[in-house]
Amino acid sequence: MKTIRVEKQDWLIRVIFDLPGEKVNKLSSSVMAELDQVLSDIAQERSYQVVSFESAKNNIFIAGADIEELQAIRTVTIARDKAQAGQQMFSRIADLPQTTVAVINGACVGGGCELALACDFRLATDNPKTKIGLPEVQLGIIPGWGGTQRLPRLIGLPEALKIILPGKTVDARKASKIKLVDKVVTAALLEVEQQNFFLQLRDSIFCASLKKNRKPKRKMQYLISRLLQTSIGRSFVIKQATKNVLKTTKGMYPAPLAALDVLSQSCSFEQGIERELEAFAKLAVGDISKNLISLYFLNEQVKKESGSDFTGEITAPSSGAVLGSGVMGGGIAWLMSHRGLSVRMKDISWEAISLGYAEAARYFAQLKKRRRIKQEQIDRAMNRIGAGIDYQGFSRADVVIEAVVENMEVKKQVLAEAEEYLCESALLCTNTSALSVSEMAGVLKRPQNFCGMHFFNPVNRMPLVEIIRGEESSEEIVARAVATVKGWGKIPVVVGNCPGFLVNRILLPYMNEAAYLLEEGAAVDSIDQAVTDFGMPMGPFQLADEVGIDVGYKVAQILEQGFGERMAVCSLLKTVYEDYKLLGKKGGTGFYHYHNKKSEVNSLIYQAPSRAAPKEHDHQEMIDRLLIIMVNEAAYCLQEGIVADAGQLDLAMVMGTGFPPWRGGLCRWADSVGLDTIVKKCEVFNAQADPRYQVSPYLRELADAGRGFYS
Amino acid sequence: MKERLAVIEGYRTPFCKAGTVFKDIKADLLGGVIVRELMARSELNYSDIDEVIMGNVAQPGHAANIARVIALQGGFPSETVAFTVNRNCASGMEAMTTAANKIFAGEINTAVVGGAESMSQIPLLFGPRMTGLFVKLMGARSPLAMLRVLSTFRPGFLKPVIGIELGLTDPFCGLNMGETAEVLAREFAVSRQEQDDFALLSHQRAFSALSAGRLADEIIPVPVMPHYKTVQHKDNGPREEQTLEALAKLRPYFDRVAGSITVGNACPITDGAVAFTVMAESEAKERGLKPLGYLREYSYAGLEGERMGLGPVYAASSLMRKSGLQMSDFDLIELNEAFAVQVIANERAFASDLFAQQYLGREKALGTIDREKLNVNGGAIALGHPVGATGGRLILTLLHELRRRGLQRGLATLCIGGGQGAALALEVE
Repeated sequence: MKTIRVEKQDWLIRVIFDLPGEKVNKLSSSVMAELDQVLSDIAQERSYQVVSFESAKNNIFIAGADIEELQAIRTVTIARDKAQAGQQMFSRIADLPQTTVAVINGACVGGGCELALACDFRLATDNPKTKIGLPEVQLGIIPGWGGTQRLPRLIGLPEALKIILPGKTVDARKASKIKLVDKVVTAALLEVEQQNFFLQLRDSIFCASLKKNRKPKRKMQYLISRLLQTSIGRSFVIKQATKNVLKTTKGMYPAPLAALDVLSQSCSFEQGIERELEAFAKLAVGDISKNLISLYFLNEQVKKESGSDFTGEITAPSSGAVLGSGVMGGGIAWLMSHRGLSVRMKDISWEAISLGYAEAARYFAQLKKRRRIKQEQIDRAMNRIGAGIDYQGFSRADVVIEAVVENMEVKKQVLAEAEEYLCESALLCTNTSALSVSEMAGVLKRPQNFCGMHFFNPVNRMPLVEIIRGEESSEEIVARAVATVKGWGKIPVVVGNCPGFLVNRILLPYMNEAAYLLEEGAAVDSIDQAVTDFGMPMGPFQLADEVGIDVGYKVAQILEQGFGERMAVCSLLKTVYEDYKLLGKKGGTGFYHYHNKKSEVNSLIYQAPSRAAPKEHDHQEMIDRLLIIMVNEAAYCLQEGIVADAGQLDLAMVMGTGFPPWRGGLCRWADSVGLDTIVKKCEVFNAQADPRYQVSPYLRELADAGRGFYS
Repeated sequence: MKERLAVIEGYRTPFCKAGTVFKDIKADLLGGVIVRELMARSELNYSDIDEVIMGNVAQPGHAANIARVIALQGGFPSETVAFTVNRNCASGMEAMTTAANKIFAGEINTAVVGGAESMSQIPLLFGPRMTGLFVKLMGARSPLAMLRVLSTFRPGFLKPVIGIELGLTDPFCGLNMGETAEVLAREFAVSRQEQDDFALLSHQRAFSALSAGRLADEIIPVPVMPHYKTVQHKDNGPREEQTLEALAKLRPYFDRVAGSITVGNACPITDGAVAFTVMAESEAKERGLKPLGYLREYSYAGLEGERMGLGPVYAASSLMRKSGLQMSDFDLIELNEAFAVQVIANERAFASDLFAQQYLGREKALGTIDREKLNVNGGAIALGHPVGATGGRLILTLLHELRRRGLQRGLATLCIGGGQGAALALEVE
C-alpha cells in the first residue's frame, strides 16, 4: 500500500502523506522506505522549482516515528542504524535542489517536526490542532533524526531547549513568534494561501526576505543572540538549563541531560548529528525509555477503551451536581465548571458551601497564574457554579457526584435523599475513597444508575479517577462514568468493589508499613528520604501529612475491617491520631511541623510509647519493605480481578500515587527485580511480621512459573 | 391589559451598599447569579423561556446590551434572545411591563425579566480636556510632536467626571436628584424632623423584617466574588442602631446652607439584582403553574424634572383611570423611598383635593395613604436603591407580603429621575 502520493504540476511537486487505514501519519520503516524512493526521484526533477511536503489527514501533519518500532529496538546497533537512516533521509531533503516547504495543518511532532525542520521553509495554519514540537524526551529518548541540531540552528539555543528538554509542543502563534515557522495562514483558506505561498517561493528574493525575517530585528536582541553563540554564552545557557532540569527531574531522567550533553559544545552539523546518534542509541535501548513508552501505550489504550460491555451511544453530560462542598466537592465542581458544565453544589450550611467555592476559585487562580485562563473566563466559569442548602436545580443534573464525609451511614442517607430529586437517567456516583459502593447502592431505588467515581486530591493535579463497578452498576452506567471522566481530561481505570478499591488498597499498606518501620526505630525523615530516592514524589509521612492523618487513618481502619490482620493498623498511627490528635499539614502539624513553607520532623512522634529505641535501618531494606508490601497487595488485587491487568494497575499507580513513571509502574518494577526475589524477600519479612507479608498465591504461582506480571 | 400577567416566581440578591460587599461584582455577574438561581428553582426550563429582558441604568461599558450578557452568565443558551430596557429608576418595572406588552401582542409566550445594577462599578471618566489630549497624542506621529502635545498637559486635566454624579443629575433641568428633593421639601414644606422620623421608621421596619426572616423568601444568598470566601445572606443597609439623634447630627448634603436632605434621610447608592419568570395568566393555567402573583395593570406618567419625586401620584392617578381601581382597593403599598421628603410629599399630594384639581385633573384627592399599609418592610432609605433593580424589588416584596398577610391587591409605585412616575397594580389570587 502506498502512503506517499506525489503530484507534479508545472513547477511544483507536492509530496502528500496519507497512511492508508489510519487517522494519523507515521514515519514507520515502510513509509521511510517509500520516502527514500520518492526523494531519489525528486532529486532528478531539476525542472521543478518548489517541493511541498503535505498531509492528507485532518488535523495531523506527521505524528512522528512509529513508537511500536521504537519499543521493539533491543540493541544499540539497531537503534543507531535506524536513527542514522532517518538522519540521512532528512539530510537528503535538506539537500534537494528545489525550494522545499512543509505545510503544517495539525500535529507536527517528533520525526514529523524533524522532517519539517529539514525543509527550507515551514507554512503553518492557525488550526488549534496545529502543534509543533519534539516530545521525544517524554518517551525517555532524544530527537534522533537531526532535531537536536536543526532546531537550535533555526530558532536559537535557548528557545530550542525550551522545546527539547521538557518535550514540549508549541501552537502556530508561538511557533511564528520564535520563527519556527515562516508564515501562518488561516486553516479555512489553506488551499488558496498555500498555492500563493508556493508561487512566491519561486522568487529567490522572496525566499531571501523570509530568511532575513528570521533574524532578530532589534539591536539588543541581535546582540544577545550573538553573545549566546560564543562559547561562554553557550556554556552559561547550558548550565542554567541543567540546573532547571535537575530541579524538576531530580536527576532521575537521563534523556534531557543527554540532550544537554549533545548540545553542550558548538560544533559542525556533521559532528552534531553524530553526537545525537550516539546519545539516541544509548537511550533508546535503556529501561527507562522502554518503561515510559509502555506507560504511553497503556495511556493510549485507556483512551480507547470504554471500560464496559456497553456499546450504545453516550452523550456527554452538560450539567452536573455535587453533594458536599468540601475540598473534594469544591474540586469536582471546579472540574465540571472548567469543562463547561453548569454545576449545582449542595451542603448543609452556607459556611460549608463557601469552602467549596473557595476551593474552586483557588484552582482557577492557579490556572490564571500560569496564564492558562483569563479573568473573564474565570468569572464565567465560577458563575456556572450555583449552590444551595437544598436540592434546587438537581433535577436537571446529568451527573451527580457525592463527596460528603467518609462515613457509610451519612453517605447512605445523603444518597437516598438526593436520589429523590434526580431525573431517572441521572448518573449518580460516590467519591468514596474506600467504602463499599455496593453497600451504598442498597439504599437506592435505582442502584443500576450508581457507581463509584473516586477522584484523588487535589482534583486539578491528579489525573487518575477510579471508576468503581458496584455489584448492581449497569454496564451502561460504567461506560457513561468512564466516558464522562475521559471527557473531563482525566484517566479512568475501572476497578472492582473492595475496601480501598485499587490505589488506596495498595498504598495504605505501604503507609502503614512505614509506620511499623518508624515504630521499629527508623527516623521519619530517613524513611521519607529512602522512598523519594527511589523516585516517589514524596515519602509516606509527607504524603500522610498532605492528605490528612485523619483521612489516612480512617481508610486504614476500613482496610483492617475488610482484610483483617494482614492490614492491622500500626498502633503508632493510633497514638498519633487519637492521642496526639495530629491532622497533618492542614492542622499545621503532623509527622512534620509546618511553618512558612518550611518543615521539620515533629519530635513528638518519637515519644510514642510503642516506638522502640532509635535504630539505623538499611536504606535498601526500607525500600524493599515498603515496595514489596505493595507488590504483594497488587498481586492480591490481580488475583481477585479488582483490576483488568497489570498494565492498568501500573497506570493507576503512576497516575494516582506518582509512582515514578520511569520505573514503568509497580508491577513493571517487580518484574525488573524478579518475582522469585520478591517472593523470597516477602517470606523473610513475613517471618517478622506475619501475616502482613503473607505471599499472595497468585504472586507465588507467577514466581514458581518463572514468570513476571507482564511475561 | 388584555389579561393579567402571571409572575411565576422571582428572587433577588441581597442589596448591599455600594463600595461594600459586592463592590467587585460587575452588574452582569450579579444579574447572572440571580438569573441562574431563578432558573435552578424554576419549574420552567431554559428552553421554555422566549426572551430575557433586563433593566439597567448605568449600562457598563464592558457589557453592551447587558441583558444578553446576564442571560448568558445566567446559563441561557446562545439561542435565547435578550435586550436591555432603561427607564431610569423604573427599569426593573419596565422590564416586566415590556414583557407584558410583547406577550399580549403575541410576540412571545414567556420571559425572564428583572434588573441589575452595580453602582459600585460606575466608573470615573476623563474630562473633555484630558480626552482631547489623548486624541491629539494618538494622532502625533513623531516623538517631537508627542512631546509638544504632552507639554500642553495641566494637572487640572486629571480632575475626573464622576460617572455616578453624572447619572444622578437631570441633564434637562440641571438639578441632581437630591436637589429635586429639596424642591419638594419647599413645595410641601416638609421639615427636617419629619424626614428623619420617616427615615428611622424605614430602618426599624427593614431591620425587623430582615431579622424575623420575612425577606428570606425573596433573597438568595450570594457567594461573594472574586474570592468566594464569604456568602452574603442579607441586605446590609438596615441599621438596628439607627437613632433620631444620629440622623439629626448629619449635615444637609445637597443644599449645605438651607437644605434638609441628608445622607441619612435619602436612599444610599446600592448594588443588587432581581429576576422573575413571567407569562400570561392563561398560559400559566394551561401549564398548571402556581404563580407568585399577577400584574393587573400598569401606568407611567410624566411631569417636570425638578419635581420628579412626585412621579408616584401622577402615575397612580393614571393607573386608577386606566384600571378603574381606587386607592381603597389596595391593601398594601410599596412607594419607593428615593428620599424621605419625597415619600412625605407624595403622601400629601395623594391626600390633597387641591393637588388633584391643580395637577391631576380630578375633582377629589386620590385618597390617603395609610402608613400602616405603606412600605411595611422598610424601603430604599434602609435597603438601598440599585436603580436598575429597585422596580423589581418593589414588585417582589409586595407580592410576598400580600401572600404572607393573605391580602389581595397592592400598589407598587416609584418616582423616576428625569420626571416620570410608574405605578403597577399587583394581585396574588
